[in-house]
Amino acid sequence: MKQIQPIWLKGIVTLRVHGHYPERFFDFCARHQIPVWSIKKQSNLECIGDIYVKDINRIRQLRRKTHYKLSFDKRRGLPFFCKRLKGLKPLLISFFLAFIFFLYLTQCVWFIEIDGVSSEMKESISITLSDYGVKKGKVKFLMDNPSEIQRKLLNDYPDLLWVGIVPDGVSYKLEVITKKQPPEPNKNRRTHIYAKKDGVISEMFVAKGRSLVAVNDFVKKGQLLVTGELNQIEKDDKDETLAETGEAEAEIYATTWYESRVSIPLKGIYQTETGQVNNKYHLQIGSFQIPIWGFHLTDFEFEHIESDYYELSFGKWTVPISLKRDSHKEIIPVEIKRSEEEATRIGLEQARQNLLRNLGRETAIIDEKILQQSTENGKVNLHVYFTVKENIVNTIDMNQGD
Amino acid sequence: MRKLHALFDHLKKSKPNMTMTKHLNLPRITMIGDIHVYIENHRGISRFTDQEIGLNITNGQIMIKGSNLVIKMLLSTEILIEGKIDTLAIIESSTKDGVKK
Repeated sequence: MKQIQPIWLKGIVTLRVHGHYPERFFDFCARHQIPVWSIKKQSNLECIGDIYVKDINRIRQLRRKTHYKLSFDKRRGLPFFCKRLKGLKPLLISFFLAFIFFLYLTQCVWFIEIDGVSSEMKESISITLSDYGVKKGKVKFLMDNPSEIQRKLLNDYPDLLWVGIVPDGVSYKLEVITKKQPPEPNKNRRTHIYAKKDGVISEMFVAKGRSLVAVNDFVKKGQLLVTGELNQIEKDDKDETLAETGEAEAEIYATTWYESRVSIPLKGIYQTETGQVNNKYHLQIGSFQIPIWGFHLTDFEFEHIESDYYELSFGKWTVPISLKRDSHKEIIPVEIKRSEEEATRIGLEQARQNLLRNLGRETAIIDEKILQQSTENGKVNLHVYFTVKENIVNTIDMNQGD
Repeated sequence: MRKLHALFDHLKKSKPNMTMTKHLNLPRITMIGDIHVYIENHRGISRFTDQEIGLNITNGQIMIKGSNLVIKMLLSTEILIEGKIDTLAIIESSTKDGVKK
């Protein structure tokens, strides 16, 4: 029944009319198009009723023609509320400032804790952090997000394995794990070097040890290549324990062979972003979203949406209202048609890449040959044969042949 | 209040009655239970206490009796009365010619 809101905004005054037949004054007002409501008779000589503030002057004019006495009782509504607030200005301003200060205090970083590294490292990390803008008394919003800081830190300190940043209220907790240099006693202590793969040896650099094979020898997987036993001792010799053993260290390159099959479709569809971005902002309250900016922008025919959330949190409590930004990025599907030659070229490149990825950087492809090439179902199938030069020294210590 | 307004609007719009009241200048009285009375086409308040309200109409008076009567809204020809309404009486008075209708 009560429809207070719009009326309250206008400002209402309770008018008290004193005189004989006070209700007639209200009737008089109504006749002059002044809305009056909630009229109550208090006594024979008194009557109260509500009117709008804006009508007060007109009512005063009307009163002059009559013999009633008017007084204004209650004042309600926004205009009066504002007036009252003006009196409380210093209080309000101080409240506002206090709130701002409170926001600042809660949204800042006051403690940076670094765990898991030496104090020397801590010092250096905290200096680096302050270079990134992570300092005591900095507002969280103005800093990079934790994952960005993590990435930067890992970039700048190659010997860090992992950095975990947990923004916990006003403190930033960094958990740092340094890389443990893998102990390499195995390599140093290795006395025998075995072949990793079948191949024909093309180059040998024996730094330590005695080589048992020569260039252009065909070796099999697991064959002994270099030994640390400097003296040639028969296995059945009694003084096996006396055998002089030293380290073996060598780089042995051999030519090896690989077969690879790839199939390349002649038609390909992929999507590219056109660079057109519509940013739409929403105010998210719970699961309810209110669009506030950019809602008039029309959607693209093909688009992909990235959503970012900006939240405010006090300690563990996150304000349930967050700002959500949807980036609508326009994409266009691009269809490419390849000729057979092109597909072959791409297939070869792909096969090469795959091979090099598997074998490591030291590998070089000496020769490649297409054994078989067929086109079916819109695909080009290739069977490629590679001749590769690679290091066949077994990096994994094997307990074999001893 | 909004529902009431909607109801009144609806009543106002109903055409056949409209012409009648317009021509005859008769008051239109709408009552909702015994808590509301809405009167259109009145000609001013003659008396008002919280027990009794007298309204002038074209040829006479409307007397509303009840308790805790409050005028919820007052416009030049419309009035909305709220309270506990007991009786509503129409008292016809003689016109200027002295002819009783």
